[in-house]
This record gives sequence, structure tokens and C-alpha cells, in this order.
Amino acid sequence: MYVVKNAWKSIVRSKGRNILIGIVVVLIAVSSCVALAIRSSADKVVENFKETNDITATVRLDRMAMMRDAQTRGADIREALVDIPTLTIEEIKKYGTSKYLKDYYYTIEATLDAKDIEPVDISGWISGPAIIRGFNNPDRNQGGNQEGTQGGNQGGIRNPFRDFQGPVIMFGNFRVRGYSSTSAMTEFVNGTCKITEGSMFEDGETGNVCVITDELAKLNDLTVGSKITFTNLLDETKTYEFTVVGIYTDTSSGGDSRMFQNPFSDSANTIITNADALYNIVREAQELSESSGSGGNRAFTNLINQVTPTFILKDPDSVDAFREDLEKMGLNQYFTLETNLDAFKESLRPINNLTSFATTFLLLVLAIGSVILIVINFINIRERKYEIGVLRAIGMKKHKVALQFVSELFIVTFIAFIVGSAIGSAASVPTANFMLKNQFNARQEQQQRINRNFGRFGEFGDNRPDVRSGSGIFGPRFERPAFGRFQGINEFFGLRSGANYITQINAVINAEVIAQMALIGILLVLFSSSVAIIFILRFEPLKILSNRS
Amino acid sequence: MGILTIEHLSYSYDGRKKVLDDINLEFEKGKTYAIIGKSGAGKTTLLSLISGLASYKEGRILYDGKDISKIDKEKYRSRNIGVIFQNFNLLPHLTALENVILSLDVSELKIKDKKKHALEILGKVGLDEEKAKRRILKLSGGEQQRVAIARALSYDPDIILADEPTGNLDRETAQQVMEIFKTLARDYNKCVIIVTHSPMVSQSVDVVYSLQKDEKIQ
Repeated sequence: MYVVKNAWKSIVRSKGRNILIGIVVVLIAVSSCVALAIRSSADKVVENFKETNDITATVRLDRMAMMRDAQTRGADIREALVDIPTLTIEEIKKYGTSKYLKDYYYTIEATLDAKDIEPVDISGWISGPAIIRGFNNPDRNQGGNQEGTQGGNQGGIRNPFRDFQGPVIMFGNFRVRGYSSTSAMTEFVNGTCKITEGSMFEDGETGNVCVITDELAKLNDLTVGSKITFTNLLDETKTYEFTVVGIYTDTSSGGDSRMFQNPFSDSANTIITNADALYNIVREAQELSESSGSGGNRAFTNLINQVTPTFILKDPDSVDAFREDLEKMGLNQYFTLETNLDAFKESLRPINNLTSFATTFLLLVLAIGSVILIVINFINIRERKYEIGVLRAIGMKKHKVALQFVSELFIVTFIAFIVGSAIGSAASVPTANFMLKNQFNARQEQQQRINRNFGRFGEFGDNRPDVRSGSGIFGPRFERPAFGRFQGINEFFGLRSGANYITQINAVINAEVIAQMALIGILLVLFSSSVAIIFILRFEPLKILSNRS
Repeated sequence: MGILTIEHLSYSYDGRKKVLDDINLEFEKGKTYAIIGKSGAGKTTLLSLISGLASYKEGRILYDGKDISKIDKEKYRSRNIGVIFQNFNLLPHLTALENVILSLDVSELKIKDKKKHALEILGKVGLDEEKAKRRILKLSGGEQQRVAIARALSYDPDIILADEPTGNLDRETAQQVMEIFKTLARDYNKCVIIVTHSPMVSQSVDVVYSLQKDEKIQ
């Protein structure tokens, strides 16, 4: 105890020296505080980004690999491309069980005909089912590899095998897209499509509901609640009644799509439904196809792009592991895994640069500060050599003498660090606050835009009544949007119902920063007093006192 | 057996020429001793060895029968032996009182009111409270000497070791200081060892040891 008392007396006695040490420490503390606050703030942004932005992956067919393989085998490249391997929903569900995944969803596309509505068709072509003969027709003309025939608008072809030999692909007038999750509806997320009437069906919906374009609705006098009856191309007696729950406008639909020969190519004829509802129709079509012919005499409805999966990974570092996992689970060799990892990393680059700058700045300040403190302490010890000699001569142990000197520096450092931290927090808060506020505003705007695109006005706007506000552990105010039933869409952009958006700066100087500052202070004291300690331990009292004599 | 016994003590700084050569001395409580000798005879070296500030390789110094090279020297210096240095070695930034209290603190003795105790000791050596609260540099040489004595006495050691205690003092003050030493030996049963050149000191002590002859003179 007397050691601390003596240390304090010594501090009071040598005001000039200790003020000098204090100023150096204050400068170190201010710089450290700002750097740590920026680091902390940046880390929070990164953490928030990682929490709210997903690493997504999809598997795509590598046509080049197929062609190379066919070439190696000496097979006809064009024929090789006919037997394109496809992904089934069952396979996607199997891959979805990978431990590296947080979630997954998929989309299916098919073309269908409908009994009671007309497609938007301004191409001048007579609408009706299209039939394309496949490549593997044993009797095909060697000079041509595709024969397109446009049927009349009589409502479909009942027996395609009667007119064609070899497999045929049948197209309906409407392109129907089935989504397993609203997260997959990128056109709505990015605002290309917007609901203008009704609303999008919910995630988990499996019933026969659909959303149609405003052009299609207008042409056929359809409104929300109207019914559409789809027919199976292979058997028009099989029908599927769908209820229109929403009408949307597609701002991307322009003249380009009208250039296609078939109505289903026109985006106005795109009908959106859920994956389960569409899959039921497709499955029946496949069964019909398999039962209605064999060998080269089979017809089937075309599934454009068939099934497209999107896998959401838990961790950006597990991409390779997931790829290996897929291979183990039997993913066809011609499929490759594509991710948004590069874009993800690129997004983090500015903030990582900021963190790197703050870290470098911090290290530089600490290094320079430590050297200055070591020099001051070294001079201090040399000046107080006599005092050390006397203390040792009257029986004070070496470690206690050292402890007294360390205590002096610790007390000065402690006081200076408090002052420095206060100044530092005041200086760093506006910067970090600005960064956080911008981040929050951007996300909020993004959220509102997405909701508007989905026709959910007022669900997450400014001043929402159900926005839950509260204080974090270290006092930051945050707002937690209660997404409720829109979780699926929000999760596409990582706007999860559990995400906390920091809107005030209190969190910047948090316990972590304070702990880091304390650690820096302690290390600084120990490091800068280490030279003093070494000298004290080496000093012989008799020598010191003899020299003075 | 005395409180302090020196047996066959030899010491050299460079390992060749011995400053002290086979010294045998004995000191008892209740007596005053003077160690005399020419300059370079090794008086201060002997004082350093007795006080534990220097270490010896040949011979032994026994305090209360224990070889001081084998005991905790800091504890020995802070409790068993009080050293009064020729130039006092007081801490100038502290007051007389604080110097004495510091010594008490270092000894880690359990004393309830250290300030009161320190003032009593300072009073015994002739320094009142007003002077006790002065900084060392504001005191005269004699007063500083008294503070040094008070500091050495504060933790009630068995041995008082003084290096030329009167060297910087006028005759009158020197006599007063010597009276204090005699009182300490006579009334407080201390063993007072004084290293000196002064004939006045050597005449007023009970025993005089000459380092040249390694003998008791009186």
C-alpha cells in the first residue's frame, strides 16, 4: 500500500514530468480511441453485412465441358447437347440437406396452354402450341437438325406421334414460373416487376394461385380473384384451375420480347405461381410423356431451364466444402457451382480497407508512443537513480521499488487514458455515426423499395407503429423491423426479422473498445516501464550512493 | 556471544589487493564502538559489508549468530540494523517526518500510528514537529544528521551503524550527536558502531577498533 502512496506523492512532486507523460499518453489514447472506434464500427458494419447478406450458389450446366467431352469421345457435339442432364427437385432437396447450407430455394419454368384466356400476341403469328422435332429422330434429314411447325389455334394437339417421328418438344402459349420462395423472385426484389393490384402469394403457399401481368389481365378482363384454367399439352382433358391473386407490371417488357416467334417468349404471357403447384402439373406431363410413347416416339412439354436451385451458404468460407459435398451427393460432372462470393468480397473491400487503415494507424501510434514513453521513463529513472539507491539502502526490495515506478506510470496513464478516451470518443463518434447512419438509411431505403415492388405499401415504412426500439448492452439505440410474414423476401437481401439496425453512435465506444483501451494502457505501461524495471533490477544501491558521495 | 561477530573477514574489490584482510571483531549491545583507520583502510567497506550493502566471499559476519549472507538482506537492513550514512542519504523531496515514515513503511512493522511514532523519534533526537514537517533541504546539516539518526532508530534495530556521523558537523553539534549515540547504547541497549576519523568520537565511545592493527585499542 505504501508503494502506491509513495507513487502518488512522487507524481504530485514531479508535476512537470508527469504532465509531459500525461500529454503523450493522452495523444496515444485519443488516437487509439479513434482507431478502435473506427475498427469497431467497421467490424459492426462487416458483421451486419455478413449477417444480412448471403453467399448464394447455384449449379449450372457447363455446356463447354459437355462439348469437350463429346469431342473427346468422337461423338456429334450437337447430339450430345440434346441429352442435357437436368436437375430434379428431389436432387435439389437432397443437396439442400448439406450442413454448409442455411437455406435453399428453386424455380421451375414450363410452358402451358390455358383454356379460357388468350395470350398477348402481337407478333402476327397464329398462337397455338409449338412443336419442335428433336435431334434423335432416326429418320431425320441429315441436312437439317430442327424443324419448327406452328400449329393452329385449335387448342392443342392431342396426338403428336401421329404426325411426327422421333421425340417432340411441345410449347404452350404461356410461360409459367414456379418459385419455391419469394426470395427467388429477383425481378420483384430488384424492382423490375411490381405488383399493381392484389399482392404476391406468401412463402409456403402450395395452392393453385398465380400472379399475372397487367397486359394479360387487361386483354382477358382478368382481375384479382379471376380463374385461369391451364391444360396439359399432352392431354387437354387434364385441366388445372388457378386463382389470380395479384397483377403485376413488368417494366422491362419492351419490343425485344415481341421479336420471338412464340407467345410464351413474350414477358406479358409470363404467369407466376408457386413451385409446388407447377411441379404437380409438370410431373403429370412427364408421366403422360413416359406412358404415351417409347424410344424415338415420345413427346414431352418443354421445361425451359427446368429447375434452377439457389443455395444459401452459412459461411463464405464453406464454398469449397459445399462443392465437395455436392460431388459426394452425386452432382453430375457437367454441372458447376457458381457463387456470388467474389461480389460479396468486393462489397466488403472498402470497409476492410478502412479497418486495415485504422489498424495500421493504431499500431503506428502505439509504436511511436511507446518509444516516446520509453525514452521519458529512461530519463526519469536516470534522474531518480539516487532515490532508488536510498530506497534500496533502507531495505526496500527491488520489486517494490520497481512496483512503485510502474505504479506512478500506471496512475498517470490511467488518468491520461480516461481524458484521452473522452476526447477520442467525442472525436470518433460523429465519424462512426455518419458511417452507420448511411448504412442504415441505405438498407432502409432498400427494404422499402422491395416492399413497394411487392405491393406491400406501408408494411415497413418510416414511423412504422410496430418497429420495436430498444437499447443494446452498451446503450446503442437500434430498430428492429418486425417483418412478420414477409421474412422470405426480406431474407433475400438479408433483411432478417432478427436484424438489429444501429441508428445511434453509443455502440461505437462499447465495452469491447474500453477493454481494448484498457489492455493498450496496461501494455503501454508495462512495455514503457520495462526499461525502467530492468535498470532498477540492475542498480546496486552501494554503487549509486558511492557515486553520489 | 555479541550481537554482531565478524570472523576472518577478507574483502577485495578487484580480487587481488585485499582491502580487508582476516578481520575478527565482536560487537555487543549496550555499547558504543568506533572503527578507526587511515583513509583506504577499509572502514566504509566494512560498514557496507556489515550493513549488507556489499557481499563478502571470505569469512563471516554473524548477526545474532546468523550469517548475514544467508538471510534476507533487505529485511535485515530494514529491521535489524540502522545505517546512518556520512551524507545522510535522505530523500530531499520528502519532509523529515516523511523520511522517517518511509523507513517505517519499508520495515513493514505493524505500528498503529506511524506519524505519531515518527514524531516521537524525531523529538528524541531533538527535532520538534515544526522542523519535522520541513523538507530535508530546509534543514541544517546537523538537523539532517538527526533526521538520519531518527530514520535509523525508527524501526528499533539492535545495531546502529554510523559512517562519519560528525564529519560534516561543527564541534557542538557533533557532541550533541555523540550524546544521542551514547544514550541509545546506554538507555536503549543498542549496539552503536561508528566509523570515524574523529578523535573526539573515538574518545567518547566504549570500544575502539583499529583496522590497521585489527585490534581493540581501548
